[in-house]
Amino acid sequence: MRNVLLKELQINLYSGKMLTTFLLLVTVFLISLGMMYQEYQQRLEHYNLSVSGAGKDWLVETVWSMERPDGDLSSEAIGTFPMGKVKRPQPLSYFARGVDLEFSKPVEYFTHFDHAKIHVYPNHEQNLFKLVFDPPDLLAVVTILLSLLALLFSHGLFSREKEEGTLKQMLAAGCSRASIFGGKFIGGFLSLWLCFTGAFLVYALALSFVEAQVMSGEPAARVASIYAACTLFALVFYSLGALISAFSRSSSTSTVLSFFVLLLLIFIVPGTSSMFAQQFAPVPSRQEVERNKLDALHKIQDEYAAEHPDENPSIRDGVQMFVGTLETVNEAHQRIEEEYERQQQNQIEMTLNLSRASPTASASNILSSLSLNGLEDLKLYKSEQQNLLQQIRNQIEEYSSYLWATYPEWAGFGRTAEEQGELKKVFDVQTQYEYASMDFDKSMSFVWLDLFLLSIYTLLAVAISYLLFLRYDPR
Amino acid sequence: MIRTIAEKEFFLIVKTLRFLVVILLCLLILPISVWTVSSDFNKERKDYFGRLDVESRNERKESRLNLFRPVPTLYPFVRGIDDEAVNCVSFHLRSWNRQSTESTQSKTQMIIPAVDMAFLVGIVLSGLAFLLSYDSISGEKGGRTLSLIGSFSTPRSSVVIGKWIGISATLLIPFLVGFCLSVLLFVFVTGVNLAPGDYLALALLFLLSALYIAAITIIGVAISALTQNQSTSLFLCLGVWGLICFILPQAANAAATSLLPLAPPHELQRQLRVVENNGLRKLVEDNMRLVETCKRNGWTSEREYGPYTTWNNLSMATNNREGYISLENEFSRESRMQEEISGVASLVSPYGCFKQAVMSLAGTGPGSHRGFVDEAYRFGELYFRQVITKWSENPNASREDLIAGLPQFSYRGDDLNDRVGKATLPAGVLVLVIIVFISAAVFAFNRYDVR
Repeated sequence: MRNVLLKELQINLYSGKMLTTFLLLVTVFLISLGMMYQEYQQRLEHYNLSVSGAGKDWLVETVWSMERPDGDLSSEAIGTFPMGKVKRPQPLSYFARGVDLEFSKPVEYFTHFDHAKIHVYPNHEQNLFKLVFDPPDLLAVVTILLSLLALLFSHGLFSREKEEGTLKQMLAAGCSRASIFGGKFIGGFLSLWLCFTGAFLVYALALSFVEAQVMSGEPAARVASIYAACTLFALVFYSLGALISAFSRSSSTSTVLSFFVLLLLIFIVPGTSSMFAQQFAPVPSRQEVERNKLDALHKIQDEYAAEHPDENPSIRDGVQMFVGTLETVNEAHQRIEEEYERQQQNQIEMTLNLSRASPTASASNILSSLSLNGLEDLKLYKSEQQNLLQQIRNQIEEYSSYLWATYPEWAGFGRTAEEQGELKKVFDVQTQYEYASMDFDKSMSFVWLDLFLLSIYTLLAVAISYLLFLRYDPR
Repeated sequence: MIRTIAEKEFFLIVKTLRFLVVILLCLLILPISVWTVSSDFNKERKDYFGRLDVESRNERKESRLNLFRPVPTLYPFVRGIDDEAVNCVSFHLRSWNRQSTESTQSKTQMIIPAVDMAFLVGIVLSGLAFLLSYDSISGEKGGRTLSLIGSFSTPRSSVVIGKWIGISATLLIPFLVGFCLSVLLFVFVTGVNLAPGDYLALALLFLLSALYIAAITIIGVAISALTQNQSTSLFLCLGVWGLICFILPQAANAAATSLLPLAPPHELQRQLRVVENNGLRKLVEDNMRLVETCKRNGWTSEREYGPYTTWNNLSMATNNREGYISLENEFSRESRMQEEISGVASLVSPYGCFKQAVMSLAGTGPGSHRGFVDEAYRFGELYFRQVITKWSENPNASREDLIAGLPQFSYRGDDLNDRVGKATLPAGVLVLVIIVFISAAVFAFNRYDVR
């Protein structure tokens, strides 16, 4: 077996296959790094602006205030509210961008200040072609290029020997089938693994120059895990290539089959799983959710009006109605949002489960989670945003109580320095808020299933290819 | 002679396993993808009409307006950037705002993207085109059959062209069947009555796909003619496939970003706030002067001072709007310039050409979205100018008077001529690619020495 293994390594080394593969991987890895660096710097700039702008550039003014003949005060106050702070982009985005675009959507304040909400920034100010052609992160390179190389390394492992008749000679020379299989399989994979490891080290070294913090402490453990996951992913495709090779009698058949498997597992299975999940676990559109929220608001306000028939529909009572129903409306809206979240979550889980039929989806999940840009990180971010919204709402209530206590006749807000100070407390909630990130152990807890599945795929592919190899009749 | 070679190549491939893969892709996966995206299309369309319905009940049309972009009919074939780009422009007399309404796109699609026809043709079918063509000539060299072909009086250019036509036909005939099946499914699922223009657009969509497949096939044939053995040509073909689909278009964006860097969207938001805050401060000053005037003249009722407060509000609105438009134009001009550089640079890749052409034709690309925003802005400007004119002529006008006779927004998207016009340049580049690579393949094949 040792001889077969060494022979396989030597063939790959002397034929230039290893050097070509190494150079190809290094080139594409560095191209990916360059493009991702550009994108990461833009995200960072966006984040820095949001931090320096959070809690600033707001102005609340009483734009009209005059005493009426009846002694009442006619007044109007309007204002602009500060921008929200976004979550800091993860330096590990170089490895997998995942859902990090969602993290650039901050909690904003509604005009008229009735609710805080999550604002969606339009992409209009950006180059729209970036929505068409995303820069490739390491995950894209690994899923497309590394899987392709793994198949190219293994698709001719046995079929070429069969075609050229050398397998017969090896068997006639007394080599056991187990040693031929083991030697060729391990030798071939070792060649690929050496190329990948070398290229990954070059990539990590280059990354450490631009983002030094990625290579120390917890991020370094994540990078090491990403490397291990990529190796396992390459092994899955290498094993599938070996399986195809053991099954086919000619190298051209195994080439076609390998490419078909590549297209199927990388593009078609994951893509169609998302489509099937949309059919079987539908989610209402955002417009439907907003309509449900509006219906709930009207229903609560109608009930409030029915319970308080003695109140006049003046501005002051409008405000009273708003304050009186605020809590009930918030609760109703929260229930609708929670139901929407639950349905979305169902669809996400169904998509993930269906797409796990392909190792690519498992690898995407692992790399995104380890890069802190996975679906679980999005879930955490959303719960943090809800938490922040609640804190803002609490502060708004405190501010409203202050206003009622200070101005029993209600004359709007933004009149005195003290009042501006009270209002600033609302904005300070967000300025001082720090979004938490998942720790390494927690991230790992979401990837075990996918790692297990990748291992199972490998074992199955190796076992079946060995059985097929045993069935080979040299006559 | 070309016909004989093409037929031979066609029937040779039809009997192989590769053809089964093509059949599976075109007759099964393509219709499934169109069927699924058609369901999304139904949902998006329902939402669009729902939003229009809510907007029709807007009781403050004199100061607030929401304009929505309808879902393009060919969305189920080419999703383009429709799920992410701006599809609603909201105006408020005091502040202008553009929004992306949240689409039906699932969050998982950020990690696992869904497939549409443009993706299946652009990435998967092009990969299969390379797979069918990589050994078209190098395989004959390896199998020694090329010397036999060379011994006949068949011109070498005929061999190259015949093989190219044969391989392209192997891909395009199943694709045509799958495409027709998809169109039928689309009509069945959505219940849309397609206009003659839509059928023409669909036919052009097929022609563009055919052009792209033909371009990729001739690149594969040229590589095959350049190389001596099959494994080298396979390696080269896969490398070129990766370069065309995953590196060059993205590198074009990176180059455009480096050449013309843009400020992040937050910067614009900040500057807009500064404009709004300045407007507010000026309004406070104007109103303070008005309160003094009221005191001097003894005005106490809203009937007396109302027209002046309205005037101050309108003055602020006009100044703000001018500030917003000037800022947004400045940002927009820069981002459009970067976009143009990206668009031109991505034409170096046939995949970039194909994607641009089909998005333009389907009305789901960057150009169509820019067109919608421009149209909405023009309309908003006209609409509010009329409101302000009416208000300044009659400060006591009722809400009904103000909105009476105002124009209605009806955006139907670019007409077919415009869409075809936008697709012409990338389609022309694809034709150029075909001509260049036919010449390259013939030249490389002519240099081959059969001895």
